[in-house]
Amino acid sequence: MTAPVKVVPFPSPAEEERDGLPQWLLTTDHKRIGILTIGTALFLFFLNGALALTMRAQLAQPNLHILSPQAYLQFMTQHGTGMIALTITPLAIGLGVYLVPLQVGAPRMAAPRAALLGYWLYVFGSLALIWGFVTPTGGSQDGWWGYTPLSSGAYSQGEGMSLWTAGTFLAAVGMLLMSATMLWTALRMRAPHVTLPRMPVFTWTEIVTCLMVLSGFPSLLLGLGIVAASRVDPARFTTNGWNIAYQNLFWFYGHPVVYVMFFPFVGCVAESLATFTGRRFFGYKGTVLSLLVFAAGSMSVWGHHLFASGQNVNDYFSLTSIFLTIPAGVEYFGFLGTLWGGRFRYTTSMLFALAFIPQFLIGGLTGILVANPAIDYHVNNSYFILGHFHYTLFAGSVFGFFAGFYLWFPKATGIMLNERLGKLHFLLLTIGANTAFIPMFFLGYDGMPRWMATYPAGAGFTTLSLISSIGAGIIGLGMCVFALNLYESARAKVPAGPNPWLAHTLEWSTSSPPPRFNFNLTYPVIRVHSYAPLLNLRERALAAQQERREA
Amino acid sequence: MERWLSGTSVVLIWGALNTILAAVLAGFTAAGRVGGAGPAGALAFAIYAASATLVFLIALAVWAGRRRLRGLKQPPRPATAVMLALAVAMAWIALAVGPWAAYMAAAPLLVALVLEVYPRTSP
Repeated sequence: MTAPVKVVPFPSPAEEERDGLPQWLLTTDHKRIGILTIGTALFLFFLNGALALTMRAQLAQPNLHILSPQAYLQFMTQHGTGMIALTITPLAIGLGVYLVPLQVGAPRMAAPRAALLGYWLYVFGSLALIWGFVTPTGGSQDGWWGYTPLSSGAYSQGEGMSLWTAGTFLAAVGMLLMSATMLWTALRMRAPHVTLPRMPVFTWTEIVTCLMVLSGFPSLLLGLGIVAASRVDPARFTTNGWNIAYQNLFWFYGHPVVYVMFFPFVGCVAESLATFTGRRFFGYKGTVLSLLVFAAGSMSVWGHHLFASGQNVNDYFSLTSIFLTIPAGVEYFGFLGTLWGGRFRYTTSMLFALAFIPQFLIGGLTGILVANPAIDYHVNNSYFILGHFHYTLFAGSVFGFFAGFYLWFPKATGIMLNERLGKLHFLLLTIGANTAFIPMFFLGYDGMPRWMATYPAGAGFTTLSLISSIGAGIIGLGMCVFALNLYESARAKVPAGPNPWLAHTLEWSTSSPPPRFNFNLTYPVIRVHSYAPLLNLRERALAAQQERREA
Repeated sequence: MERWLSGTSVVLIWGALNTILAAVLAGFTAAGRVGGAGPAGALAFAIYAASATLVFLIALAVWAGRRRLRGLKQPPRPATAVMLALAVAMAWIALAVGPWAAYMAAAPLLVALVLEVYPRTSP
């Protein structure tokens, strides 16, 4: 057994945080900030998901009018912005805020008050967006991108659009602050022996995510400044140059944010696959390098959202978009290499990770299709695009998130989730996601446009739309099972122990839940020799046991 | 690999990759490819170049900020962060409800300032 190398002083009782609500809401403990962020985002996931179910109910049959066309557009805008800016991005960042300091052996996070400030800006931003949605004049109807001049005071009157602008700005600043503190923690506050090549894949995915947030999000803030100014003075930004400028600024954030919303979940899947096959992640160095290249490449592809504008270097953006298949392929090679010859344990986390691989591949491959301008012209603004990004963000990212959630829930809470309910949750989500999103490709190819509040009976969309709506309903049912699982597990309180899954990374060497400063005299930081330190220890113990037996 | 791979070098590598891609975009724009000529192409390059420059500034900050961890005490006055967030939120909400919200933002800002200047003494 390797001796611990650095003992963190055991905090005095005064330093242990209490459990009251004010202590939680004013916490500077990264673990609590992470849990608060994930909890808030999950609540908003249910809220924004309910909006999607209402829209799918309207589209189940032709000529239905559950929502007026205006209300439909408001629901769609709120669903899009809510899922991207308030749900999946915070889930990705929140998971990192919780895990990164633990995985690098840091006792706390860098600048924890800045992270707390980020969390509260995110909360106030979410409240502003929800407030805008329920104002008498209604919420924003301009989509999650808020294109000018439609978003200016001349064309979108009322408070809804203004509150959308304010809410999106606040939430983006919040995520920027959280990412900056997380990046600093990973790069500057690691335990002495946790060198960069010994960090887990998940931490690497969070590092590249933070880099993308710090590079891409300021562009959104600038763009929202333009929207805010055009709401105060609609006559200021009237030329088409400003509209194209806004589109460029928005998509310079809008495309990297898609990668912000899946890289951390690629990390979740990598850790889950390694844990439940009992192997080290295959091709670690190649994967880390590909993550850096992939993330840098993702900053260069925003223009493919402007293919149809005619104001864009289409061939450059097409080339860079297709180039991304190379680093993506390296990552997939890592996934498959890890699975090869592994001893599988089919836990809920592992099932979500396994489903992520083909489903995310569908999202990626259809992305290559629309990276080709000729195909993009045909399917632009159609349900094909909806199918593509729902496969990427739901069948990919959300599945990756649940792989991580089921893996680390015992670590964060000290109790186990119910595996039987978890598997039912997985089954419903898998059936629901594929039933809901596959028809979208065919609908889009047949010409069904996005933003369509309803459709006539003879349009030829009825059967596939109904199938898609049934799939959405199954997803809703699956999420109810997830909520039931949380309730049941909190009631049953099955204790988890420090490492219930025999996982490999550093956070599993401390208690569940970890102490205030992550490690203490009972659970010190062990010496880290690789990105799978606990697997090293187990292998050494096994080798010693065999030697003794042979002797 | 371990010897030269530091926090700064990771950010620098990332900045270099972005610089290469921005330079290629400049080539396409300068070549007058369809849609790339004129202000739209120049703007796209300017945005990307500004972002790549920002990455190098981050690398500089990471290199300069080599300070050691100073103890394990909990940071004092976390309420300051909440008050500051409230002030920023109110200032932005003024866009929807009128300038009075921005004036009201002065109150939480003042509380945050007082909390910082006159720290509460804890036993």
